[in-house]
Amino acid sequence: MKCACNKVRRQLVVYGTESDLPEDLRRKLSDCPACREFWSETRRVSGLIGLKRFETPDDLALLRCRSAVRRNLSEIQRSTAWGGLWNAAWPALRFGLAALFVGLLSWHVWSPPRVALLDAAEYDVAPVNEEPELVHFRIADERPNPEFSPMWVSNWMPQVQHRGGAFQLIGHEP
Amino acid sequence: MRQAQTGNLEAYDELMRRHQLKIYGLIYNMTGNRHDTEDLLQEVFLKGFKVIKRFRGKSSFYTWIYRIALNRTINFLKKRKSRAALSLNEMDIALESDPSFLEWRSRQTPVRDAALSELQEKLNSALQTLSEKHRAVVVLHDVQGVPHEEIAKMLNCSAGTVRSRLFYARQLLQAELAEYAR
Repeated sequence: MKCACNKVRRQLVVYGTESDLPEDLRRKLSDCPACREFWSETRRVSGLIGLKRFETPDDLALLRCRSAVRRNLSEIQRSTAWGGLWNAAWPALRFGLAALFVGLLSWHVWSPPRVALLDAAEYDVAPVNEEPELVHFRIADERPNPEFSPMWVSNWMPQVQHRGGAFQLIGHEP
Repeated sequence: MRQAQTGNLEAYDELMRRHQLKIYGLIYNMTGNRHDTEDLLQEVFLKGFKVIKRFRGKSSFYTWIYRIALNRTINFLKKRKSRAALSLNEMDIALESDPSFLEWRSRQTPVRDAALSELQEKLNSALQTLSEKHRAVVVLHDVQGVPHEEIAKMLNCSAGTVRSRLFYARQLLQAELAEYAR
């Protein structure tokens, strides 16, 4: 096969009928019997393969496919709608959770131990140089606590001191 | 098209209805198995809906969905190591008025009077002997009548490559179908 023939044949394969051929290819076919033979053979093969277009599916097959796709797409859309709602709410929810966490953490770190003064009214004002009076109170948390000591109470409440086995407000001599 | 891009299922259903037969034909002729074809057709349309927002209209919808169908089918065929048994559709009655069919019938001799079903099976097995790329070109060009420039766009290659593949595939098919094509 000559080089020119090979090139022509590669161009011929895309044409269906002789009337579709450009002028130069038509001239070549009339000049070259081998190319003409190739042309008729390739058209015959193409025509036979083309018969496959008559193999058609039954209508039910296509209907089945489409309804399956529609069903799946409806489900996807429904889940996307919920997903969208969740995505919209998620930043606010996330911020809320973070704020709550920070709040709880700071309350845990900075809040005093659960000590409460009872008889708070007596803790209020007692004039200096008047009749000294002892302020009586007790610790609300009565569980044994090795850290709980008079010194610890004084650290937390500097105006209270422990003298003679009793707590006393500073400036109030017994 | 635009309505389908906004997620309108009715609009997308209309697109499916318009193109389903051609895409079915493409997948069916690539796989040679109608059960695989039904599964793949569903996958292609589902995939199409998921990515339709990305479709920018540089090519026609038909070229775009064909490309999805081709890629999906070629990937499927690569994963399917061994060739599946052929599972064929019925031939349409319109076949009997086709010039190629009439020519083939006229060349039949009493000795070599092949039944239509035999021809159908032979055509399908001949097609399955081609590689996926060559088969895609033959199916698109000879079965579906897609112009070779359009095929080049679908396959992301040059028109020259399409012509070469078609030339080579026809040589192979000619050898496979020797007794039918002479």
